[in-house]
Amino acid sequence: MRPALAVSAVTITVLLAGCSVRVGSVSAGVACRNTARVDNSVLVLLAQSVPTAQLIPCIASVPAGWRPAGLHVTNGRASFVVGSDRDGPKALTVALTRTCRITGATAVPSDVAGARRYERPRQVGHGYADDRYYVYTGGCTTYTFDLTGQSRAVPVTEVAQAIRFVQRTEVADLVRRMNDGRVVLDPTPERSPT
Amino acid sequence: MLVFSLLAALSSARLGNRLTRVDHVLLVGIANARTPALTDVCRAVSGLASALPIQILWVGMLAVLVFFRRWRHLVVAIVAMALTNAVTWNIAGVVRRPRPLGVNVLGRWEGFAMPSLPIAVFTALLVIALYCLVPHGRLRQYGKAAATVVIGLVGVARVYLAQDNPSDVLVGIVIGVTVPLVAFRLLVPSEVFPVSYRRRRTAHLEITGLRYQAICQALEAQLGVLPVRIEPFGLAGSGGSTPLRVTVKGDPDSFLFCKLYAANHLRSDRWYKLGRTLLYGGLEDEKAFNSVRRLVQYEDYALRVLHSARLPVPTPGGIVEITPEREYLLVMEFFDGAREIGEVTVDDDLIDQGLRIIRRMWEAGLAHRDIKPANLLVRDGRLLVIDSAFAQVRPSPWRQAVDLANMMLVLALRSDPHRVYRRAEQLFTTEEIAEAFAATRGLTMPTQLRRLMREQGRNLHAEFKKLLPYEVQPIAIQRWSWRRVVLMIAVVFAGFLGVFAVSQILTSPLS
Ligand SMILES: Nc1ncnc2c1ncn2[C@@H]1O[C@H](COP(=O)(O)OP(=O)(O)O)[C@@H](O)[C@H]1O
Ligand SMILES: [Mg+2]
Repeated sequence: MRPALAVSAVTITVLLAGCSVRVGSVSAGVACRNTARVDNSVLVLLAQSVPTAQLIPCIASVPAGWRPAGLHVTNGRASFVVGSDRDGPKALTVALTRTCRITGATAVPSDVAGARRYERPRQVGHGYADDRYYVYTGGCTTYTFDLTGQSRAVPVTEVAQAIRFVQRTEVADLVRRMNDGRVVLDPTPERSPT
Repeated sequence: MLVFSLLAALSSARLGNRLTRVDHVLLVGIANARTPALTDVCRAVSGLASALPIQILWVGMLAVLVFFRRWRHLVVAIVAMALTNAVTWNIAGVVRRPRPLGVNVLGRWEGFAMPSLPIAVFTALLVIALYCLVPHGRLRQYGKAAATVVIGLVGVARVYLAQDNPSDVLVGIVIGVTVPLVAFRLLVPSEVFPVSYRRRRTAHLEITGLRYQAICQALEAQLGVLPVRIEPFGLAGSGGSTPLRVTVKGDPDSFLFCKLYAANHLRSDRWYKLGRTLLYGGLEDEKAFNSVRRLVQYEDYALRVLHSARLPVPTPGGIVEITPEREYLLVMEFFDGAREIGEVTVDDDLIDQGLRIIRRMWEAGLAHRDIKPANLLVRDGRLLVIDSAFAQVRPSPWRQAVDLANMMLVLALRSDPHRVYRRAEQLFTTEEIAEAFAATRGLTMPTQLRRLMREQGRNLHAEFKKLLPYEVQPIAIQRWSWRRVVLMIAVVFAGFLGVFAVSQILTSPLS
């Protein structure tokens, strides 16, 4: 094998492999509703990452100019990104965890039933945006803004309104319905000892 | 093929759901059998297929392949691993299967479940290791059995901990076996590229089997000599070729010195010249040879020119073709019983001979360009010059001056600068000597010469300069051209790409 050929083969595969990994994960958006075309396994996966969380964040509708831009789910933490060309590729990161640190954040009236809301101002580019926390039974969802565009207030409300929460019970119903009642989301306590 | 039909089947929701139910029954059954002790064991076993152990194994394996210069295996290993990773990720992104449902997941996990990425990567790693590190045959068979057991255990442990569904593990194993297996069977078949643990120098070709026979036949057919023995000779002093001593049948048997050249020598020549262009620019003719034939023709021609200038070089014996355009043998007289100048004591007579050789080359309009201890032999008190690979006709005065300085340095290595300088004054003017040391500096000296001076802990170059009646200004040897600038930019760019690729390769294949 000629070295030049070999080196280029390696470089190309490594680069291609790197890219395809990104494609694979980006294409998955966290849609709230279950339709024929959008199956909601992503929502199920999110619910699995924090098994105690009673509310699961998801994207209700993507506002014009915005797009889901990344999804990373592990045991204990799930996050997804919404971005746009105008306001930054990672304008909003939504992270679901069991708990979160809200020291220094102030409580504000909540717009989500069953969740307390906190905000903490943070410098973003040349302006400010509030990082936002929703704290509820068994979980916490953090909104981190990273806006690069000229204006702040408008895109913040716009993109924040795109995010909704679904009840864990709704996700559980979905799982049960999809499997004719024979598979459930969460184990019943007595059935699986740890 | 198998993988893709599987993929198609899985993304159809109906079958997906049936599979989910089957998996579910198994998982719940296993979860009900959990005990704290078993859980600890399974955590440990499943930990084998986590990022750190996989990275350690991976980097270790790459290191072994680099050490034994098994480049082909190395390249295929990297490609196979990247492909396994990409295939798994992309299928997972399409199938989008959640983690096991209805049971407590005990271990760590990341992303979609089908196919299991840790299992696919772990399996691929073991398969690659078997094909890269374990010699073909019985040993590899045992290895396969062992790998099967290990992968099976890890898979069971992951299912026990409900990190993966049983079917995720199975598909992961299929991918992890298929991708590397196909890559290795196609690109590095064991019959052609056996795994062995002998370390060899890249530039030197092995003279065994088919090549040995081909050389014998070619020597007989083209030179009419009957070789009875071919053996590597003087490898230590060789800079780039594969030097051989051929014993020829006769009464008594005699020797021939041969240098075998192949495509890899052409490549070293190309890299060497690229390096020089980057370091100095178009200082001399840095055009690379574009075929092995031309490379050998050049050296043969140079040897003939040196020979007809009555310099003490081996009598040329012509060129023998082993494989057209690919392998050639340069044949010349063998200096039987000659020793490299570094192994003998250098007296005034040898010093004079060395200096006279340079004078003679100047008169004939030639430069050797590779004067170093390994290229100067001594037999019965006579100094002999070998290796015409770099010799040049009508060189620049600068290059001729460098030859003189290098010869004086070699001679001084085994005697002392005072003596060499005094003898040199008999043959060369002070200006000529001064010019020689002005022209020479670190990089114009052959590597071996530099290394030997360093080992002696002496800066002979400076000592010679001190002997000169006046101070000399070093001659600038930097030449700038667009070609050089463009090449430099290209090299820096390639360097960045390389660093990026290497950092990608060395990170854990799991992340
Ligand atoms: N004609 C010869 N007779 C005996 N030994 C030789 C002869 N030519 C070279 N050698 C030995 O082989 C070694 C390599 O030969 P050389 O022509 O310098 O090859 P390379 O181009 O690879 O440096 C030398 O260092 C010397 O020890
Ligand atoms: Mg040599």
